[in-house]
Amino acid sequence: MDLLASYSERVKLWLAASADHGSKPLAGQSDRPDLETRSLRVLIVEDEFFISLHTKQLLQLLGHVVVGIAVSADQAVNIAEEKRPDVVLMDIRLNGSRDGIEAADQIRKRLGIGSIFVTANTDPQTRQRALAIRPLGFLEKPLTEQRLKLGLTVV
Amino acid sequence: MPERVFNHGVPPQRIRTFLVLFALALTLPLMGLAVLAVNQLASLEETETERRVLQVAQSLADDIDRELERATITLETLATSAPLARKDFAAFHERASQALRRDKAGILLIDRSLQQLLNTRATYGTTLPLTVDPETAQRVFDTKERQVSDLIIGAVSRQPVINVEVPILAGKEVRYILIMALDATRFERLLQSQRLEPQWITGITDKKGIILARSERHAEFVGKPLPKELLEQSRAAKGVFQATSVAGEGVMRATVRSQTAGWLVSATVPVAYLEASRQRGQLFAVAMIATSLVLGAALAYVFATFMARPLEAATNAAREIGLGKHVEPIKSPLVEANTVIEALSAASLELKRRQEHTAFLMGELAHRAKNQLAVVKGMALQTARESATVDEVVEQLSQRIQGLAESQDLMVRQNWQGAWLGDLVKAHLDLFGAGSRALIEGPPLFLNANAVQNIGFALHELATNASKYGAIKSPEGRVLVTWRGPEEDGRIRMDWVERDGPLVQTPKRQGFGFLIMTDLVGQAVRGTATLEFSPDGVHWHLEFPASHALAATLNS
Repeated sequence: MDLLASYSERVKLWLAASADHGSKPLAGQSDRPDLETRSLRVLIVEDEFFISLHTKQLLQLLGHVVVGIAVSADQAVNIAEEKRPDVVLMDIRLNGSRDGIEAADQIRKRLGIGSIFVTANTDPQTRQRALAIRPLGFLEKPLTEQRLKLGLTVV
Repeated sequence: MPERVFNHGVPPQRIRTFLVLFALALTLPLMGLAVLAVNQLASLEETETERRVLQVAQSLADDIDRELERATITLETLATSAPLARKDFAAFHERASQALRRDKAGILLIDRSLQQLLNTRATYGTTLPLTVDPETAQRVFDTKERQVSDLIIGAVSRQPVINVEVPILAGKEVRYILIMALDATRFERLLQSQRLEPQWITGITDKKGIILARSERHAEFVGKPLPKELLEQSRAAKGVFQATSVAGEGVMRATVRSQTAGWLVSATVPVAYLEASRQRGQLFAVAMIATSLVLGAALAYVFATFMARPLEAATNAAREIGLGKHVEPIKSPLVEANTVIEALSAASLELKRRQEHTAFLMGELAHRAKNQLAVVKGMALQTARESATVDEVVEQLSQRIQGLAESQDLMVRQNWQGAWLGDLVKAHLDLFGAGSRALIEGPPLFLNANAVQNIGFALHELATNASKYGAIKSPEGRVLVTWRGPEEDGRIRMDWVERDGPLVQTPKRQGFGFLIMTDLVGQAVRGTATLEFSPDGVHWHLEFPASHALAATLNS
């Protein structure tokens, strides 16, 4: 996961740079007492990198640590086993033969780690399947800071 | 859409109505024909009856003539017998009696004085009277030929008889007359021997109009004169006529004259009997027609039901489809209805499938739209973060959205399944007007949607970079995009090489575009991507698993 590590590092740099352009301050800063919650180690599972980057930045704004970004179900299970995150933000539709529901189920059963599904618009059947594996919650795309913060309070 | 007109002004009706009309159209002409046929049959029957009445009368006349001829032959045979030639009347009496052994008749011999010389009805030697029929005897003397009398009462027998008289010549003179007196009952038996239906009555009237014999109530009528009107009608008649019989009954009558005796031989059938017979025939015909109609109507109803019910089922099926319900195929006796309902059933299934597909597509569209909005949101935020000025944000974001739209366009054309790699490369180069001077080469590969979108991002960044600093910027510059695979390790390898462009310098800072072309796209397609800035030109290399390509295109 060297690739991810170096990528995280670079994102931090961009965040610092973007702060110079007047964007929101980083999580944990004293002027945002509402974001002073327990820092979570989060695994992002998302095959669209523009979305995963945005999610990562939102998590970091909220003071959480992104332990990795996976683009497929298999990769998600592997990273979860290696990094043991507190929670997984799981996209349901993923690149590959298995979807996010299968990955979340496997991770919960094998590692006891819960997932929050992040999805654009889920049809009733898929939602039933997702509910059946007892996720920690559902979040609608596109994510906002408030939505994400609220969603993570269940963890 | 205008309605097609089939009815030619006929108001719409249920099929049962048309079936009833159809049955009537078939039945009414047949009924008319049947009525005509019954009438024709009655007419034919009447003609046939007339023909038969005439035939019976003619046949009887012939029989009577034969009977009289037979008597004549007997007499002529006896006339030449030896006892008569030698005037041995006793022996002749004996011979004549033997000749008449089986006949109810008598043989008489008279001389010119009309005196009976012998009579087989009396013992030979008995004193005998004169003949009671001098008139016929005189005709024999005059004509010297056989004569037949009218009805007379025998002088000895005291019974109604007729005489057949033949002359016995001596030279040219008639010496004796040999007579056979035939009982009238003999003719009664002859009439009865015709074995006609009991209603038929036949009779013989002599030349004077006296009833000589009758097949029914002979004893009552024999010897009585035929009513004058009937006698005149009979004498004048040619063929069959209607008359009133001696018994006062309306009859159909034919009269034929006997050639030998000149008698009137008649055959009659009571009109009431004929009427009854005709009525029976008509009743039978009417009963047959009525039975046929009832039977036909019952069968028509059964067959109409065979047609009407399946068609009603087909109509209901069509109505059900209109209500969006599923229609099950049926097995009815009507093939056409089965076909229609089968087609409707298939249509209802297809309709349901399409409705589900439409719902799926709507859901899919909503999902993709929202997902793309999330992508664009991420893209906008990242572009904003890497840009120094608002103009730069606008320009870069605008180009990236355009690049994303190019990839989306290709996928829309392929029903969101993905796109051909060659098309993807060309689309992104065309965006910068470089499609025509690029060499694009590789086996046909149809990539899935994920690969199309992510490789599209990389191609867009490469083309942007080439148009700003590389081969596309220079008119002589060339871009070579090639790919190969899947190779033995199951991966597809793709290269973007720029040549003959401006001298390339390694950038001092690796921006977000660099990150997209390398790490982000590489990771997104579960592969690796590298970007080298050699002085000859940029070289981008991507490796990704063949699972991103449609299996069917991998072997081509």
